[in-house]
Amino acid sequence: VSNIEAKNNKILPKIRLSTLQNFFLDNITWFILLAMVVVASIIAPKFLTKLNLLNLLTHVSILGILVVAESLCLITGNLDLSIESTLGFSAVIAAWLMVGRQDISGWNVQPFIAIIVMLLVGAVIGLINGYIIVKIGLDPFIATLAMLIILRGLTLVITKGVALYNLPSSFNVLGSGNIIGIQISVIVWILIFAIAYFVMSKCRFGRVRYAIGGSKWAALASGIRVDRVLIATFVYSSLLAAFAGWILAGRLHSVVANLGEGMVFDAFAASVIGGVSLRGGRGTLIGALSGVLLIGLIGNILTLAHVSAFWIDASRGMLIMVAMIIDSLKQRIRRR
Amino acid sequence: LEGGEGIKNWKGNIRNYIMFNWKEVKELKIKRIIFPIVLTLIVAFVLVSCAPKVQPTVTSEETKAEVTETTAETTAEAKKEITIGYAAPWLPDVGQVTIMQGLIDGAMKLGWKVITTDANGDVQKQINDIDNLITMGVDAVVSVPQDSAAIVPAIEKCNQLGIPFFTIDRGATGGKIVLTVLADNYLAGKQEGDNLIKLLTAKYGEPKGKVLELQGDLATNVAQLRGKGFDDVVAQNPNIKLIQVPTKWAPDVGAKGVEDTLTTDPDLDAVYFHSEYTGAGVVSALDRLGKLVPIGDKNHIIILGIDGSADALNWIRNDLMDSTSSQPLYDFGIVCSRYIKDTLEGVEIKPGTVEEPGALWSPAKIQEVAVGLELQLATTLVTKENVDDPGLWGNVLK
Repeated sequence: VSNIEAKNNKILPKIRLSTLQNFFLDNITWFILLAMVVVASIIAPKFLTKLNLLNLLTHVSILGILVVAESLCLITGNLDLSIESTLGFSAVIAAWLMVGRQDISGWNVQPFIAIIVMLLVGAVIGLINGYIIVKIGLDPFIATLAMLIILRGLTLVITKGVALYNLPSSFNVLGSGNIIGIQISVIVWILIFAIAYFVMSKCRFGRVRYAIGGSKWAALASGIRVDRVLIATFVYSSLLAAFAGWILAGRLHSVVANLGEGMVFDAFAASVIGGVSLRGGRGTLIGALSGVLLIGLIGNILTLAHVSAFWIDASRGMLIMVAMIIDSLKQRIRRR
Repeated sequence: LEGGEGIKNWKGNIRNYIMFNWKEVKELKIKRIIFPIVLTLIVAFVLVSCAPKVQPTVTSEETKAEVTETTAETTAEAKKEITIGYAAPWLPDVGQVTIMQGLIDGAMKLGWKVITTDANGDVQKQINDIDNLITMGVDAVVSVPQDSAAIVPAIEKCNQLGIPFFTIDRGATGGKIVLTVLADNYLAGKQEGDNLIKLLTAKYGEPKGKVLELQGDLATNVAQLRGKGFDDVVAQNPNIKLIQVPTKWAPDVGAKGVEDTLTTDPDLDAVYFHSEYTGAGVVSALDRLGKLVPIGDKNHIIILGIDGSADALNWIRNDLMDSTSSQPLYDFGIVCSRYIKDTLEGVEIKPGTVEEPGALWSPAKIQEVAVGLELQLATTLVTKENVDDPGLWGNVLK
């Protein structure tokens, strides 16, 4: 037996990484990002202009908020597929309250009431998700998938497939206003991100969630009220999604039935690229941020590089896959 | 046993060999970090620089010559190259591909460059795409809006920056559009209606019978006009019983509509659908029910459609379908690029009738609408006689 062990040790020697190497591995997505920026500025001279960089940030700000929401869920060892339809549904509710559909007169509700209602709707959706998953014990994938479909359907019921537009400008300002040339949505995203980063890495709020994601039973044994924390996590995530819906509706000055469709995949990809584990307990929001920027950057470079529209999606998928492969190489080196 | 040992060793050797290579990599520690980054760089370079760029479909040698000629001309005289940005809504649709190709070909004939993007059915992405096009300094933006309301912020941004904005196939609810190029959908409905009357008269000696109309999404202007053009003709003939079923363009709803109607009214004479996208479901439903019989058979149900897709042209060739109104999808872009040229050269576009002898889309009319001007191109009634016309978009892209 010892002979085999010795052999194995010979084949797979334990290696100790230096601090510098650890730093590299921890932040590998940032280095990939840096590499991409270099590539981008070579192939597309327009890339490194202030206008383009600001555009890039604006384009990823809504996705960025969704990624914060998704990462919260992922870190606790759950997932929430319904965030994109929560985004769409709450935005539709707000638009419906304010302007109504073309064939009905609408409610003409004040924007601030509509906003409160839409955020409440988001929170309630999160509560339902959390309750079904935590108390009834449904698998989070199935439960939130069902919620995704339900909300998409309800959105269609309200809009009847028609866009709701002429939203009041005080509602739109969050999505399309700007302060000294920087879109308000970018500022809001950075604020949300900073707060989430702070509470997840420096406060009990985050420690509790990492503990639950690492091992639910250990967390329970150490006196954490796991059920409550998990339900609260779903509420926060849906609330953030509803907030993102407000920004997106404001950016488009209108709400369409398929608002936000497909965003959840980008949100997942960004979180996972950024090192947030699908099994919970691992990953940081800083990592997720790098994932968001990477996804946004890939889309941006492909357009700037004149890639034909037909090829953009395929190229994007491949670039995401390459990023994931590099991430898994990292894991392999680390494990050794 | 000796042999077994040997095989084991052999396997071990292979493993050692592989691991040896890994070790070698490991010894040069920095490689582990550099390697993935270099890999990404290479892949990114390859992908981005080799991925196909926008290209014209060169339909004939003549166009090819024309393209090179005009390119040479422009490089010789003008220093500044004109670039057009095209924001497509949803390219899995062959109609959208045709529209885009028309614009690319039209622009390339003028020696321009075209940058294309695809919103993938996502309004947010379309706005982002147009942002990116603006960043690249395009001289004009052309788009088929994914949604007429949600496109408005992008139009307003272009308006602020003084970039002329054109739309094709669909208009917008706000902003300032130089020109919207679309088909005369009322005419399309009317052409089908007239053909129906002709066919029913041929069958019964007078226009009478039962007709099923499978409506598109009635919230859209397109479906309303395609319905109105048809209904206005039918309404003049009191002996025709019109059954209307809204489908919201969905093929499965269309199929269900025709199945249900055939249950209640087995003596149905004709089916008219607002789009062949819906029609695909209808034709397969008729086939399932054994009602898809060729023209000439007395049990034949008259099939009328709109769009003029390659599928429909084949149905017409095979005597299954009676007629369709072909949309000038390919010509949208060709005609649009002419008006882009006018706008960039400062020539004002005026309302009125536009005629071009020989062109399928002629006569067209330019009208003023709330957000700008609208150019309505004529549709073409396609029957067995003219189904092979190379100008029909269903024959352009196969």
